[in-house]
Amino acid sequence: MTSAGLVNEINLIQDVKAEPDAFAPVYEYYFPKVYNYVRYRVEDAQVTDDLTSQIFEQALGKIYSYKADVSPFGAWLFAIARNKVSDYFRKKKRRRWFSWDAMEGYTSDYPALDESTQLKDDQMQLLRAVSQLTGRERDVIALKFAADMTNVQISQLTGLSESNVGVILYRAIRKLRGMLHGLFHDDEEVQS
Amino acid sequence: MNDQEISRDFNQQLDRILAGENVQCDSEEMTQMIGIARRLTQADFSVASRKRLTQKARLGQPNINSGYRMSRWLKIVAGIVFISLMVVSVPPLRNLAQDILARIGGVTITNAPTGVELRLTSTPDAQARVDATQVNVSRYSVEQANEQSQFQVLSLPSIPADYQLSWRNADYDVTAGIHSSDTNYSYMTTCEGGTSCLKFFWIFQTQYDAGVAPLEFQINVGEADVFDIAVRGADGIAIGGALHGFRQAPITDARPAGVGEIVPEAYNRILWVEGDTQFMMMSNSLSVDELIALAESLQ
Repeated sequence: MTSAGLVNEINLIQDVKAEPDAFAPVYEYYFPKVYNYVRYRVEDAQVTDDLTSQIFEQALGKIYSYKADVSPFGAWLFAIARNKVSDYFRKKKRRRWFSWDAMEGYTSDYPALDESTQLKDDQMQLLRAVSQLTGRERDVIALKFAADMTNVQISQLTGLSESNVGVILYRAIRKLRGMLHGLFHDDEEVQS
Repeated sequence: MNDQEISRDFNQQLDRILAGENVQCDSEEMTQMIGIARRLTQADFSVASRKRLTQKARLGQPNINSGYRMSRWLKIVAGIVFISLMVVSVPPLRNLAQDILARIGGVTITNAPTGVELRLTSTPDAQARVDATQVNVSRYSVEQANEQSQFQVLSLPSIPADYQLSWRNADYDVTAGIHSSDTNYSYMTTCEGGTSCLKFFWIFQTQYDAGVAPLEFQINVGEADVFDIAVRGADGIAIGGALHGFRQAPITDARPAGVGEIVPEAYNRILWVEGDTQFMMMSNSLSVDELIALAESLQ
């Protein structure tokens, strides 16, 4: 991960293995990253909320199998997230093969989520633009900017070469620039 | 500089900026692209989540941790007991004893009752719960569909009278290695009894990356006719008149649960495989012969 990371993460995960209640700080740290990763990949806020919740339940349920010496916790968690999103797309595809199932759609135990009332206009426009990218571009964008992964980590997770990851990122952002041109006026001068 | 060199420069600058360095971009295009990258990093959509707080509160409770504590063997035993109880106590599940009628690609066709038939023979409560939530659809052009799915989407040179394009979806599931597209044509008309109903036909096209096993589908057709056909020079299977839909719940309608009479509807389907690409067409209004004729014209 490129950001500072969760302080004392390895010890925290060891604590979670002994006592699941200790998952709270890990959940707090990773929730926005996982949620944003899923949101960049799927069209629907309701589905994002459901999938994110399932990802954390699965992660907590399997945490006994996580080995810190094999991969960082974030990489392990995002492998689960990536598979969960992929499962969702596969199930969706299966449902569409049966029109009666397609009619049932994706049901949630929560009322419909209208995120447009919660997010700023520019964030909604960003999401709309990202939704125009191809599946592969969305996956790489989500891993880079939501999951905070380096190109090397993305390469390890996706099986793409590092240079291919770089090219996909560059082309995807160039496409987004074309779609969002003129929207973000305050970016004329880039300062960190 | 070629695309690869430009992208290498871009990625180097991007990583330095993401690491907190102050970087001067050497072109307006690069400045704007880095700006978009910063937006992508800073955007937080999770404020819209409804489940965050409730899930966090549940983290220490037994229901969310039960999977954590339960051993694999205990889960398997519990699963077997549960399924046995379900089969004994729920009559429609006893009907699941089935014969395989045909196989094509990853699709297995059986004579088990269709989902609609099961629903009609289940409890009144279940019958009333035909929830039609809106299916997310796109109206891609063929060119957009090609780009989204990263494969060649076939299309019809001419569309039968009255039908109009309802949607064309396409995607490439990179994790699973599956390219797919589905195109739906439909029109609203009046059925007997004066109720409005939707007539449609639907084309599915799926291609798998090398080494990827086809998705396994099982189509239960009950008493419907299943027979061999030839389509576009390939062997195929036709299913005539399987109860696979409800007339009162058009696919594109977001219909409140339990509203309206449930009328089962028969669909015709054809399936065939061309090389590494699997096709299916289905309709509640076109005959098998009409579907085959349309399939022959795909290009």
